[in-house]
Amino acid sequence: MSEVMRGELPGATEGETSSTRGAAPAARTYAYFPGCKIAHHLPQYGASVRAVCAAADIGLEDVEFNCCGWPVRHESEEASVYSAVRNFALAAREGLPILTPCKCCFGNLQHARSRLRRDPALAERTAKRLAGDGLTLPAGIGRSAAESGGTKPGGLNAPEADTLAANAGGSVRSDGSDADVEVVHLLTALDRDVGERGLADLVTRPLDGLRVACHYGCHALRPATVTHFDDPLAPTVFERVIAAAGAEPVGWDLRLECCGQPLRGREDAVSEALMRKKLEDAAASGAAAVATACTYCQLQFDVERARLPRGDALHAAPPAVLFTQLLGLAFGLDAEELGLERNRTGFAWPRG
Amino acid sequence: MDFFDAGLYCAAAICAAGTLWRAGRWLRRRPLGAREPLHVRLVGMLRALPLDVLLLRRTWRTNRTRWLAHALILGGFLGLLLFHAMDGVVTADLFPGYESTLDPWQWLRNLFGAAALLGVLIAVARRLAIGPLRRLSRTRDWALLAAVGVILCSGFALEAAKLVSPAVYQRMTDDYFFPGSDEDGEAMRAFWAAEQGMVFELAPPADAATVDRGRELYAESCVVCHADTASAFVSRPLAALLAPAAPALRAVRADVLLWYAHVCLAFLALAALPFAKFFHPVAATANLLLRGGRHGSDAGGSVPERSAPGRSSLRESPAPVGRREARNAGAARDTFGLTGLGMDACTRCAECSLRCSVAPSFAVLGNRDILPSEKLASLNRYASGRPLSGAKLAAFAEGSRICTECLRCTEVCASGIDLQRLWMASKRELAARHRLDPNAEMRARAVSEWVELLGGADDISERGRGGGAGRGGMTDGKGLGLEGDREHGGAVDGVAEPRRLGLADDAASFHGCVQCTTCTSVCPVVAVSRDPASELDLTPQQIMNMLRMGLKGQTLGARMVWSCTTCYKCQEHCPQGVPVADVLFELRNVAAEKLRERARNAEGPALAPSGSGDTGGKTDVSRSAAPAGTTGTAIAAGGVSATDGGDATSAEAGKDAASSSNGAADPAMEETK
Repeated sequence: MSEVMRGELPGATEGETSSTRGAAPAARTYAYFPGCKIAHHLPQYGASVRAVCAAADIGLEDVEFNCCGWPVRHESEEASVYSAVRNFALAAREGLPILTPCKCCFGNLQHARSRLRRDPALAERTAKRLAGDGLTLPAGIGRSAAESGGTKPGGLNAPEADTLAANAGGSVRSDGSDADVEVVHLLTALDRDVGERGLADLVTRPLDGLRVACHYGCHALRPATVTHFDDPLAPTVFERVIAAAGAEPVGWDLRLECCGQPLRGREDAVSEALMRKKLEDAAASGAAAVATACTYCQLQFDVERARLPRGDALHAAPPAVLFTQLLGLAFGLDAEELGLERNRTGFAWPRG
Repeated sequence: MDFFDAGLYCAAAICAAGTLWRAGRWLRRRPLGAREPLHVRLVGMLRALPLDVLLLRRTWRTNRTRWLAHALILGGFLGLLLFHAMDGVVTADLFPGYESTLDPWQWLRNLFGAAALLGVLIAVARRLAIGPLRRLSRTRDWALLAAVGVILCSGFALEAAKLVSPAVYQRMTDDYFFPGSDEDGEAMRAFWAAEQGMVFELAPPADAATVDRGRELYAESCVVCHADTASAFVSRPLAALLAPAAPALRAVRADVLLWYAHVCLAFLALAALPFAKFFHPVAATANLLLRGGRHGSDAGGSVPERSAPGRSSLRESPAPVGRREARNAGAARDTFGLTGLGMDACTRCAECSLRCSVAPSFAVLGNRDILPSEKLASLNRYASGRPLSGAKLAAFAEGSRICTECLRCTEVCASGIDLQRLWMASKRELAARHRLDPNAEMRARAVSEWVELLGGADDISERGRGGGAGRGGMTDGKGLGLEGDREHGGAVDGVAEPRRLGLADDAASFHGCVQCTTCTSVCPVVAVSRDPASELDLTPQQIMNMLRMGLKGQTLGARMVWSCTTCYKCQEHCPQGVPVADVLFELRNVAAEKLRERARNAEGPALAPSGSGDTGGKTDVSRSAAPAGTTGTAIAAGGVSATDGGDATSAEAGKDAASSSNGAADPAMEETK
């Protein structure tokens, strides 16, 4: 639907178009938002994201962001929203849209945007705090979609009207004052900016015959009216990207379910039960690997699973692998560069 | 033994004893660090000494202004220490013919002093000019800068006072100048008054001939061991400034007084070295050497050491990882072992706090312990066994909890402290010894207890919204008004979105709820629960119903609220647009806020450490247990087989839950029994 539209839209801003799937890769630069956990807890995600983006000609600008605010949201939404919005202000100062490989970061940034739009008093308090920090609230963030002409993030399944407005108005203007700040997940960036054909062109070692269970991750998907990531009931972006790498996405019943990570340290038994249920379903689907596109989901399926007692049957379930590691392998990148040896559940390709 | 020696020995003894005491604290604990072979560590140390310690490489990487300030202080201080304070044992031995009044020493002393003073001024200016830094600066930070500044100033003042002191002139000429006539004595005085800045009680003649004669005598008698005072490029102008006050200075023998002041201050500083931040030159140096140039963290956790990528992916044994985990866990039990040195090495430059990932949470919550440099001070207290009051302990726990372990503070630390390792260890310690996070605390008591402790629906009536958005919300006009608002507000696809804080108090949030149980049916947590009524207290749809009845207080302690995995399925699937997951988030926020308030007002220990038995009697024992308690067993056993259809499973579980909830006529009554 909208992706067909997009290429034909008039008045598209320089450097922000070319999102038509299948067209030639469009170089685009984002402010890179790795989130807090990658540096110490999941460095292989950071390494593989950078490697894949370099290969796909997606520019990543390092900005010293702060926490997205997701972890503190249980305790104080006010703190969570301010954390998120401060990142918008930092990105606006650079005049760049935000790209994150973490679904929880993505979801919380979008949540904060939505909260601000619906709570002018909160927006005002946040703007004041930003001013105290020498930053400015990007005007587009605080305005409701109707007011600002619908500059909402260009998620693939965002309503066409919004897409139209986004493309006509541009997502981030260089002065950063009146603009909105777009937030995209890396999956969306690859799918939209590079496209299936663009990705396929980069593949030198297709993952032929690798059956992959794509795990979506809740916080990007739901609530869709806030996150604008993909169709919340029948998303497709992950499978498209994985298929472009030559792998075979499998259908599985629980692909949209929670990995259980948000309950780690809060209610470990339930957290583990949720993981168990999902991984067992992935195994039953015949998948050889569970692909994740979220720092927390990978920590759950890989690191936390590896902590289970030695004899636990779950060790035999498909290993967890970051989708960037899969893409990187397909692009012919070095396994070491992709940090594959750091994965604990031991995904290896080609199978030894 | 004269005054100087006595003072020096006293100060040195205090310094040595204090240093042994502090270093002893490190040794009693586990030594820092990486388990590398000795020679590797030695190479690291050899590289760290010039780069990290002397050239302040880590500071250079993070902040150039601070580097400049610190480099000036460090360079100036070291220069003064070696060539001035210790001139008797260093300079005199290395340079035969050394005299403190000869160049280049006189000039160097001024240069080092000026550099250090400039560094102190930059440091002070930074702390005053940068708002957050100013607010973080404590007495100990100002104390160190003030001490260094005062010692330097007293040194310059001493030198200047000597330059204008006839008594000093007299002593020097008595020893080294033997005039052939009275005219020669006058000529020498004339020269010193005219060209060297000396101020005499009775001004000598100032005519050119006399001064010229004085210059000749100066060249014969003085210049061998006294350079032109102009090379004291700070003290000499200072002496010129002091000239009008020379009679007063003379009267009180300022040159003597200032000597005592300068020497005593230096001794005091030496004695204070092992205390507070004064110790950082020793501790930070030791820490930098031990870290051997590493910037990352040595903390275990999620970074495994495995190097067998080519092997079978599916059947690989997790054992190596497990063993390593066990070793790390062992290290963690000796929680603050290796940390004594690290904690002492903090210079409180606050770079970590200024760049902390969760600093925005500090901006909102105002708890200083969220910031690394401040949390480290609390951790130091906590680890040294000094008691923290309930409120302080709660603040420390909150700060520790909010940290996201992003590694940034460790990477930017100029002293190379492995903060990541400290945080991970202290988090574990706090979680094991205290029940200080809202989640654990709320789970420890029954719903009904929390109604008593936190108040019931009081805040609902306080917030009012026209006298009862809760109970009367379904029929008052507010809901309709907001309905209109929803159309304008940009809510899309008929799904309501959070509009303001206070969703749970706002009838519009759930007046559309028809108790269809869809939220409960799709909830994955309900689905893995064998008996939601006992394991979760309330199901999502029951919580919405409680809120409709204005019973918010009765929902706060419900384990469903705390076991929500935030997957948002309930909200996404609700046919009536009820923001179920957002409401649950808000309930956790409300409880956390109330607990925060309680802790703030707490006098003694805010909350009983787990296992203290404090909650016994009133509390259901099974729920006081660690998270992986009975609930876990039931859930683990209830894990569905892989062939079950996900939706079917959840729907079935949902039905169970629904029917069990229907069985209880009034959930609130059930809860408060």
